[in-house]
Amino acid sequence: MSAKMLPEHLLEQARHLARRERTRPRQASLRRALSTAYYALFHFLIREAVRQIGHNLSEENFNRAYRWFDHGAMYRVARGFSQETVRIPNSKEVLIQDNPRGIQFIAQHFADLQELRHLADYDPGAIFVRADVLAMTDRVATTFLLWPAVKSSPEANAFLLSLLLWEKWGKRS
Amino acid sequence: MQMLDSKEWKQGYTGRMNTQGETGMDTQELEQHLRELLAAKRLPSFIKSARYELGTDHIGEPAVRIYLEIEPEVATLLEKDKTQRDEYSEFCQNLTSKILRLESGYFPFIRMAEAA
Repeated sequence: MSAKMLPEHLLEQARHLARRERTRPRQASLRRALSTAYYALFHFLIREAVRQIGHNLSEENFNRAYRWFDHGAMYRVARGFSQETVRIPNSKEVLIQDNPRGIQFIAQHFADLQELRHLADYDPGAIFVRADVLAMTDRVATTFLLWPAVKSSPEANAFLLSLLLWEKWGKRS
Repeated sequence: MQMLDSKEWKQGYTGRMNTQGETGMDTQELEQHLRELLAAKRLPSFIKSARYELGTDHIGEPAVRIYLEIEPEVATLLEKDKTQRDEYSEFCQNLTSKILRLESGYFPFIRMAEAA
């Protein structure tokens, strides 16, 4: 069975982890909740990218394409698309002049969550507040709801393509 | 709410740590903007105070970490009240956009922290 609902199920799990303890939440639960919320968004973006760019792929090839995506590259794209003016990497050239607010929101939230996931998974000194973790999971849910309204825009296509080919925009020959 | 004094603002400040040398403005100018954006009068009522640190993110790019400090009992209320959490998220979103519009090269990461 494929994992087509993986992002939604991961978000549900993140929310469950964030509320696992009735009163004083364990830091371990909050850390796993953040990490899971990040993976919900990570898998969501990959699923939507492969669906949109390779909409008629067989399931086998869909799964192959799914594995092309890389956390670090996606983070760099997210930083770039968080801006109103998106610039080609290592260049002053403009890729998108008026990046829609919806794309900016999704990109900002992805960058934010990946940074948090690093803290949650690797920084033993970090302390997390449950209300903040819940706000993060709320924002993942908002991203899922927002995407259908923005996904048909040329900027959304550029964003999804960039998730795979960010460094190629500056290529001239 | 309380206004932070200049000593607190500098707490945890790590200085300029730009791995690429690509920041668009000097850190003094950025810090001036941050002080204005995080002034007590601009914070939602449930946020007690704010502080920031300049540094790098997990891939070594310039980053500004902003901590919005709230009282533990307020945090508990926020856990239960999605409307207030949405207000908090909207504030974070606006703050992020304002900092990004400065094109300083520093990416903002905003987190809630419990006030001591």
